[in-house]
Amino acid sequence: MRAKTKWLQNFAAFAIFAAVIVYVLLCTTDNPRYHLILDEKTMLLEALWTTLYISMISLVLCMVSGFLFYLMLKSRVQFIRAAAVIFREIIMGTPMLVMVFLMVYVFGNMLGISNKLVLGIAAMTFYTMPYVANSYESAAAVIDQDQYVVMNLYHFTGVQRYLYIIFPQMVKPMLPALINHLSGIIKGTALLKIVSVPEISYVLTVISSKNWASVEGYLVMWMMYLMITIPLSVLAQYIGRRLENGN
Amino acid sequence: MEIKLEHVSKYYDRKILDELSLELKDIHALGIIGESGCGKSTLLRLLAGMEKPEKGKIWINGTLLHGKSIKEYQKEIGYVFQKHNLFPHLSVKENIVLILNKIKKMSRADAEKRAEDMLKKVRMEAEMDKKPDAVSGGQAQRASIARALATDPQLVFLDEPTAALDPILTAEVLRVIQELKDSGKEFIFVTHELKFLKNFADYILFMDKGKIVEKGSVDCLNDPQTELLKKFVEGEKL
Repeated sequence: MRAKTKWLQNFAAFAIFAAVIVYVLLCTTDNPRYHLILDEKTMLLEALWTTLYISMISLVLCMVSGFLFYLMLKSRVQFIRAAAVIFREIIMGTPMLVMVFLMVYVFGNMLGISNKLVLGIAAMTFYTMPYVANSYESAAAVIDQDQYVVMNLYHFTGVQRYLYIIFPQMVKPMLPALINHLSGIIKGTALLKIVSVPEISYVLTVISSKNWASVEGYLVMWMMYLMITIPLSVLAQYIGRRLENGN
Repeated sequence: MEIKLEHVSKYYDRKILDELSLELKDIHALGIIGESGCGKSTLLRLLAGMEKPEKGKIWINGTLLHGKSIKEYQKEIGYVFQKHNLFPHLSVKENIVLILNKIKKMSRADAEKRAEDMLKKVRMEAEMDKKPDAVSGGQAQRASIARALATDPQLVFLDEPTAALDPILTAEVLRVIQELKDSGKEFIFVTHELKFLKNFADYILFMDKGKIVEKGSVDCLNDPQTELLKKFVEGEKL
């Protein structure tokens, strides 16, 4: 009975939001013309694919660079630690839009790189890297001092420490955070439209401008992002719960 | 075993060990006792090379604990901590196999065989595939004793291995340690268990406020020369 009540309450909450979304989709304009947008299926699917692979590549790069950045934050050398902290503060205080601009028009020009997709991925990676490093830091905090004492006693090398003791214990607390970072990167790719990377946001702006259907364009964009991010969020929560239960 | 300390001092926020000097020979089981905070666990960690003194020198069996010699020395010792300090993500058996296989470079098959033998020795064969948090505190501590002995160390350090256990689990762990007495290994240990101390140690150091107040064969517990040791023995008996 309790489970049934819980299910009913969940369904009621879902139904309310679904109704609000349907209302917004149908009533925001007098005569919504979604077919003008949805007819461009090929372009939309390509944009979806572009968004996903930019996000996945950025996440992988973030995991690697975020780990190196985490090691810099933990360095014994004061200069490296200070440099990492200053870099983190600068990046965390910079809006993503400005980061994309800086990467494409400043650092891209400086380094002679003109491929906007590459620069876009670099912008996403740099922007997310300090947050991923913070996640590594929180995850590493689960390893108590006693374990380091044992590793010191048996003279584990740096690689052995991470490979056999630290990384395996970091996976649990890191997984939900990483999925949330992926979700953040996916939403962040919308800003790459300012440098004409053909991801969801850019392609929908092009299609909707061509058809004079900007409201419908934004609403479809909203739905497309939700279609990706909600399953990811549910997955993060599911994994979090499974890991908490020790499975 | 031979132990030599020369003006050893150790500080944290205050002086923990105060100019300890000592020379002991032909000791097999050295018990270090004293009230909480007297510096006995710190002395144990210094003797194991896990910490360095701010001042003074330490020799164990002729080896000066300094620089690179510490790494070589630590290959020959085992250490049992107050808490079991097992890696929580690995099974009890894997905790031992990891050390033997990955750190000591023993083959996987030999490491598994050795781990199983050691766990049998401490009566943990039925629990070897469980994670440390799935066994009792006493069982986890017995597993950590097995880990300390798995590398076949000549010298074993025990830092109040029953401090975190209730009386029943304490008895269970002490029984296992007692069985090691005739193993031919040497022991340096810190304990509050007077009965165990009398049965296990052949020499004791009694410490107070960072100094060695009384030392001698274990019989000195029956006839303390200082008022402090007398009070300590009476207090522990209560």
